[in-house]
Amino acid sequence: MTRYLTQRLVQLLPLLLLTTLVSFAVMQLSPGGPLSAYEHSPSITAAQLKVISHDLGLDQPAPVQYWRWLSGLVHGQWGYSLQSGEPVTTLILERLGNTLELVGTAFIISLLIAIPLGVLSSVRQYSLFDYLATFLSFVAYSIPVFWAGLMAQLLFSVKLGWLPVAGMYAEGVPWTLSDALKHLVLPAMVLGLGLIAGWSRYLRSSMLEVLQVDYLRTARAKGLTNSTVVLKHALRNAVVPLVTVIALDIPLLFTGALVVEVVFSWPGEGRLFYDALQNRDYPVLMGVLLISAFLILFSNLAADLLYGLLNPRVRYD
Amino acid sequence: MAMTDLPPVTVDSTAAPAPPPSLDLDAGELAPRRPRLWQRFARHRLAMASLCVIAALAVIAIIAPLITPYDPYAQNFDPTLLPSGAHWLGTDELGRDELSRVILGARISLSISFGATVVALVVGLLIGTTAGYLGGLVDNLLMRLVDLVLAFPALFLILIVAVTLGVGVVTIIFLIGFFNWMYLARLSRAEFLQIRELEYIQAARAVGAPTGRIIWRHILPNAMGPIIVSSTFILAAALYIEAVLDFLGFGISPDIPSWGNLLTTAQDTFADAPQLAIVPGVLLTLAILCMNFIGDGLRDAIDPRHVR
Repeated sequence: MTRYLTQRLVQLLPLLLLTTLVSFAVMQLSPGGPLSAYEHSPSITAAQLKVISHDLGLDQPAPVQYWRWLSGLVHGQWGYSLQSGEPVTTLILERLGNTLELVGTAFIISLLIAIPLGVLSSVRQYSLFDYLATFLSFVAYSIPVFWAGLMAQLLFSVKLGWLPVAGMYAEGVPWTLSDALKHLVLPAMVLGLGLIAGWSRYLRSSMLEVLQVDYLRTARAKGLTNSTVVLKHALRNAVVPLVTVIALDIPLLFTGALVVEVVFSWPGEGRLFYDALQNRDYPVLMGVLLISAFLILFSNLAADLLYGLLNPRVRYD
Repeated sequence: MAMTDLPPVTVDSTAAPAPPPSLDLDAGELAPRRPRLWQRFARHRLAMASLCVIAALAVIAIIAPLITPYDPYAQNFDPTLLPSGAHWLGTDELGRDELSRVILGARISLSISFGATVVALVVGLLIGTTAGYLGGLVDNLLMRLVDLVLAFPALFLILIVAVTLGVGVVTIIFLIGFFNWMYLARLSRAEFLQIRELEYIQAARAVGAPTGRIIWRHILPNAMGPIIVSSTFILAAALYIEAVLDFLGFGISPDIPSWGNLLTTAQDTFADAPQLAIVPGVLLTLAILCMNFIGDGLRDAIDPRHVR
């Protein structure tokens, strides 16, 4: 196992390096280069611009710049926001908690709904419930996240007035748990919608496969109750491939969070990325892009490792 | 059909008209297969219904300029907003007829997603078939490229490029296509790797068929099934990505009434004229839903082992 892990990590290294190269290229994309903001400023002459560019090493060839940028990256120097002047790492860390709150809640809600839904669908295969769940899953999977958010706002906030339209807390009043939860429930549900659909369908087909296996017949023959057979013996085996799918879906949660955070004005990483897009704040864009790439690569790795850990039939020799 | 290169078979003119032997071979192999595929697809009732919906939307998209009751761009300085006899779906803030804009929107949104899918198909097939057919180092390099692009969330990359370069209808098609070919490449590579080892390919090679012919006539048609299924899902994804780009304000010019743009505008008059936010969204969801159902039906039809 350790050997496999090191082997996978070594394989990951060139890919990680390449993602930094792409992110660096994205920085270079910024029109006019990093100093374009000063170009039209009357207080800065062309000669001064040259000095600045020399001081910052911008007159060096691209590979040299990349190398210096990369060594900075490794040492936690991710550059400064063009907009606020704050370090990119600070900006990202500041909002990490908010995004994790949203994404984590969506994740837990999705699991809590998807697992019973998938099990029930498989146990009552081809029942009305199964057909309805399948159909609704397709619908939930197809609804564009941002529109689902708009409709949720329209129904629950504008028409019914049950929940706040947007934001994380009510303005100008002391923080209360119930208020925070009220702000959290809509964005988290909207974010989880597609996952509930995908995971419950996946668990259903995985359960259907397991339910036909011989050892389940043995379990029934031993006289175990139906619920023990389904929940203890079948579900535990059917969940193994689902774990892989869930790990692979984690980056999807964060991409979805971009849209949901914009619709619900949730001050997280997605909102940070959106604001950076509007201001063409390339250092911030690069930082979020790079983090999301790392997240995807490590989720893939986690998916592989978890599959091996949970499935004793997989051997790493 | 590959038999057309052979010299024509001379048939005795006095004899009863016999079917040409060369055609017979092809027909015997292909004729029963096609209807079976279609029948299997037709059994998936939701997929059939979806096909009808998409066909209807496609017709609306094609004849859009003929059926819009008003000029979709004509402004009216006395906006009514709410639906009325004259404006069935009301008007937007600038007094433009919503029904006309939704109809034109079908044309814009559907053609962008269709175009993006074609781009993704071309890029994906080119890379996937090259990797799968050549194998070795080329395969390895191309697949690492796929890994690299997949290491980023496509939406983030698309947004960054869109913001940097600015997009129009044509650029957005290429942009969405360029970031959605990866699974098609993996899929076509896997199919090619498998099919190129089959005996009939060896036979074709032994007969001296040129590489291009082997790829286009002998391997690709047999690899098409999963590729078509996958393209249907890309069609749905492209429709969504285009709408998201427009909605976030980094897509095509906000004047152009794509369904995504219509939803952005609708946000301003959210409480007063909710139909502006509902109708384009329903159409968008319906189109994506139908494309997903069609893909599901096709997958069942092509792969009978797939249990539902």
